Amino acid sequence: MLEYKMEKADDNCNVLLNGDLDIDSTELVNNELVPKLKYETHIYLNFEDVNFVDSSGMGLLIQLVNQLKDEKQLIRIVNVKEDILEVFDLLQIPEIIGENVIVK
Amino acid sequence: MNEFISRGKSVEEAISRGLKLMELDKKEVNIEVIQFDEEGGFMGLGRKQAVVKLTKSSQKQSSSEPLSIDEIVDNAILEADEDQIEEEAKEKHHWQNKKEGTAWISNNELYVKSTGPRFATASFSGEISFYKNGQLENKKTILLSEWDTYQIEFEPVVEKPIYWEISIINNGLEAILEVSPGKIIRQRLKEVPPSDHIDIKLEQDIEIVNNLTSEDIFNELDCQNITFGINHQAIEQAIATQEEGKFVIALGKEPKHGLDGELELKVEMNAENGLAEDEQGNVNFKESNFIPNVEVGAILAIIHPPIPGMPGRSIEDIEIPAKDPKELRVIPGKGVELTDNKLISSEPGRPAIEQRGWTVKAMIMSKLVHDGNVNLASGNIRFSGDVEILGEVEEKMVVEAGGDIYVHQSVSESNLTASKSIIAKGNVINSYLTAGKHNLLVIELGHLLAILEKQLEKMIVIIQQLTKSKAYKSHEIKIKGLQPLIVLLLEKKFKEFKATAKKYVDIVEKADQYIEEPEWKKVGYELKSKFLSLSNETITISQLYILADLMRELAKSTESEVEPNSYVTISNTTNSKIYSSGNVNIIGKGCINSKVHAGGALKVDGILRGGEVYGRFGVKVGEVGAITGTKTIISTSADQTITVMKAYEGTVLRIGEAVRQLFKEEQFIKAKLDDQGQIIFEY
Repeated sequence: MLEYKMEKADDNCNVLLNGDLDIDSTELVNNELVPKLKYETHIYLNFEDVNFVDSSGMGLLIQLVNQLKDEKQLIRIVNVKEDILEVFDLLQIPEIIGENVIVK
Repeated sequence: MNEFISRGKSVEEAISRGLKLMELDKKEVNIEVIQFDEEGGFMGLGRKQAVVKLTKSSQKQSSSEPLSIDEIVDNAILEADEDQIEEEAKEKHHWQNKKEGTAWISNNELYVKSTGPRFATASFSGEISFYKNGQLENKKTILLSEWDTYQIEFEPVVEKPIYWEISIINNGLEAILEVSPGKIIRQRLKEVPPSDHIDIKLEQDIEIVNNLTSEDIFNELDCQNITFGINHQAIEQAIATQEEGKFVIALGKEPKHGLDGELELKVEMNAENGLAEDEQGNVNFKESNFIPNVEVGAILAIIHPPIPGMPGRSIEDIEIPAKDPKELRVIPGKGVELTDNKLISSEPGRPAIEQRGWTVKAMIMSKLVHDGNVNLASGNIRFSGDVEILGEVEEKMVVEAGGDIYVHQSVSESNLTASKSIIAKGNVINSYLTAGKHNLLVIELGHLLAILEKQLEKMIVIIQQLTKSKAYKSHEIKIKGLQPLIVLLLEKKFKEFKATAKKYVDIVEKADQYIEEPEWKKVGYELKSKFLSLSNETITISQLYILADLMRELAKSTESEVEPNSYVTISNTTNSKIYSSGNVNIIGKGCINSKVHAGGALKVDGILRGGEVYGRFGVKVGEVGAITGTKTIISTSADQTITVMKAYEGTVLRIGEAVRQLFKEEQFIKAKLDDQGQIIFEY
């Protein structure tokens, strides 16, 4: 199960994700997270407590990032674990969503 | 503090200093004199220091009277002397002869005659623990001195147990017994003669112990269910072996694969290929005119049925099935009947038997000889066999043949289509020539499949890598299959796969009626449903494997499919389009402003001026371009070469994806790709 915690400080919105970014998190991301991020300008997705991903989860992530980029919102993904980065690289996720989005 | 080495000007002084520091009474210690100097120097000058070793005794010396220091010293000196005499009785003789500053090893003992100013040194290897005065030495080389006590420790006997293991390899066809016999290693110090530097090393006696019994092996074989093809001789050898080794102790039976169905031709099929130039540069057009013929009732070919294979047996006594041999699919066409696996002609004419993959098509083509020109008076010629035209093909006429077309004179502003070859003796002007159109399609598809198949294999590797990676949650694959993962892969990593697959599917859909073998369409369907449309079909890795296998097989079947029968040979051409799935030979003066596509090799003996030519298996041209810099493009595939005797400025060479334009005149060039994918010239 994926859970999230939002913290706002000035213009920055930190979203701490906790759990697995997988097929079961579709609803949470699309129905809850996306509407809440609509008016944020600087979004930091913290992956510190994300341990597993699957392709649906990554699909969601790509969709989310592209959506936010289209609206000229700044999005950064921070604290991604080594194992997950490996999966991202295999699928060339950084190339898809933009090299600078994932902060290493 | 149980032990203390004390030094002083005299033995007495050394002892009393030591006792003071150890806070003990002399009754409570054992005293050992390590060094003393009786004579001494003048007024104590040059006198050596006295060294004593004080060891705390465990029990108090209650029985004896307290001794005076003098007595202790005397006793100690006496004892030390006696010890030395006892211990080194055998060595005594040598001892005195030994030079100062040497050490040696004898009988597992280290002896040192070394009191300075020269000290002997010793180095020792890792398996030895060297103690100096009870302290373990970390250094590998040390100074030896008689004042110190040394202790050398090592394992006198090392036992290595036997190791053995039975593993099944080769898909259950072989059981390998790996044996590494046990060892008992007896170690002792290597004898070293007296020297100022000694190496302390171990000498080993190795005794091999192989206590493996056939019972052990049979028990293990039972455990692993190995029952078939056991080699008792190898087991005996393994039990007796004194060395490390591998033994094949069970050998299964490999399945014998059957023979695929085969086509045996009984008649000559091919016409003499093309026109050839003799030494004088003349072309004998008559020579190419031999065409094979059969009468009614001739046996054209025998179709041999497949021979089934023999199943094998694994060492676990499980049957290994043989590969199913493939049967030929025969499509008897016009004038051919299939009886008892024999193809028999029911009409006279030219036999045409074609095998592609597992499909055999056979027909008899009769030949149409048109005496005169093809024009409005004769009408267009459409014939399922060969067509020979003794005159010209005039403006706006069409000639279509199921076999070869042979034109004795010129062809102008007309359209010639042959399933096999086209030969024109005269000039070809403003015309459209196509030979073997259908084959070309298959070759193109095969080309695409070869690319797709390689990519698909890479994709499978990545999918496996991903699903094994720690952070990847494989739960999704169980419920939704690989579909979401494939979508992601196609997003970026395999973007080109998607484009190529789309191209393939488009061609297959457009040319549906021209494709006879259903496999091509099947691959098209699979590509579409798995990669192009977002269906909810659950895709498994094994499905991908099957698809890759099918693609590989199909792609391979086209590799050798440049039909020698589908060629175009003409003497000269101007402003024409020539399309052949096989070779194209232009043997006369040249090829002006024409577009030529050869599925095989392209050869232009004369001049190539303007236009665009392509030879998939290489291009050879006599002279290309013009002094005026007319743009002429020559292309071939990446692994082929372009050979030009003389090339003018304005010529463009394209090999694979690489393009190179000539800015000056070049002669005798052979262009090909180097390792970096750049076009290089060899002169």
